[in-house]
Amino acid sequence: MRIEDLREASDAKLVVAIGRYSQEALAEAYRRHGGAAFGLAQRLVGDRSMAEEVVQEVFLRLWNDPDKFDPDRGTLRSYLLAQTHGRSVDLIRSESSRRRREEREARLNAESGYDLEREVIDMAVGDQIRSALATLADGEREAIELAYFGGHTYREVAAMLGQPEGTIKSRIRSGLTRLRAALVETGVVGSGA
Amino acid sequence: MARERTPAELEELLGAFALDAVDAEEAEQIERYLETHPEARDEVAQYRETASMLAFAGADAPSGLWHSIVASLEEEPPRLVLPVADPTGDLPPLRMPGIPVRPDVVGPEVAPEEDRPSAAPVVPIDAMRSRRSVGMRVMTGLAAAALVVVALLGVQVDRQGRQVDELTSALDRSAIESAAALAARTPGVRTAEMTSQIGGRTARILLLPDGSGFVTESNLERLPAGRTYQLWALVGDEDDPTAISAGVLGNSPSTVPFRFSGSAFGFAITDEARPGVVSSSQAPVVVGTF
Repeated sequence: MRIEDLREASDAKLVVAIGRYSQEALAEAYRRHGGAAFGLAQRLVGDRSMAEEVVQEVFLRLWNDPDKFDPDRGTLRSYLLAQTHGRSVDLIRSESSRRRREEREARLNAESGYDLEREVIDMAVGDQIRSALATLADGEREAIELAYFGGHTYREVAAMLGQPEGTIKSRIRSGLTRLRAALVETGVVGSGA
Repeated sequence: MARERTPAELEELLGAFALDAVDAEEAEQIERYLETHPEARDEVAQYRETASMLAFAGADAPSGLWHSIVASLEEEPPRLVLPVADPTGDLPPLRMPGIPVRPDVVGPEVAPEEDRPSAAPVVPIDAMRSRRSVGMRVMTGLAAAALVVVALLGVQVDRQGRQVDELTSALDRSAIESAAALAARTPGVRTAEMTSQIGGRTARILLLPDGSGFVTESNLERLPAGRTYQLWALVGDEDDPTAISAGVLGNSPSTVPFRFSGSAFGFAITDEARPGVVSSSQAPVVVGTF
């Protein structure tokens, strides 16, 4: 497949090409999604070199195990970001990075804390996402922010917010459901998986 | 011992699970639950898709990071430099049987690394496909993209991966044959007729000025499963050749694309027990020069 064709290729075609050891296809996947993956990893781990390690590992996983990606269950972007998030969370929960994380949290708290709107401000679909975020109750939004961008477990979120664990579980789930419905309504995501 | 959670409790955790916000023991139970509950799997996939929309798009990822990724990929282009004497003198010079080599090459006469042609990328082809088959789920996804072509061909494609895979292979083969035919008519194309010393095996090399090429018109016999043909570009002095891998051809090559950007005076094909060997001790099946 020519490089020009790769630029237009669907996620599924890209991954098929990666499965055939096309470095050009992997480069195209990186061009499309490397920035988002790196941004998310850096936001979570708070360290550029660690973020680079995470992203490198995620793309190597895609290279070595392309069939782990299931196009029927979502986009390549969401797959790569889920991998990035999981690996980042593993890192920040590890004992070795606990101190670094505490320092980072102290610094973040001293600044402006979590700000979902700021996270999406540069996205092409930022307006729709901001509108979708506005449909969330404050408690839902706060719980999702702390879990997703803070890398905290729901138990940790519950402790931080002084709420019962069950309440936080419910808020995360209902918030994601509400957010998805709003994004489907605005056409940002499809109604399927 | 961890408490086994009820289905209702696990369902309540799906949102937190999608955000990696459960502990390891809970994650294990949820993963087991998802194996037998496709609706729950879909729900998690939808939450992850939603969460991914929140991720900061960021600037372009650092280009240096891409170089690190490339450097650590599993499939390095195989490279064979012949004949090269071991500088320590402990090992005999490598030889590719059938390719004339000068017997007096010793360490000091070996070209310095920077003077040797760079290795060509391995073209991922049939042998690679059989060794590393992308899952049927991906092929099913591909079916949607191929829908128009499928309609034109009048082929009834359902969601069974095998049929999709066959169709994809057919489309690939057709496109490769067309590209090779076009290459043969392209001004500046170089042609090498490859022949065997015994057995009447032949193949043709087409090499374009931009380094893209094709092995075509091959009558190489089908190899047993697990074996593969490998293509080597012959560069340097014809009496003292250096062989550089130009790709793995699979066990039954017909027309196969490859890329070699160095200055080759000919090509050889060997029969290998595994794909992408770095060095070969096999006699070439066929050899040809321009």
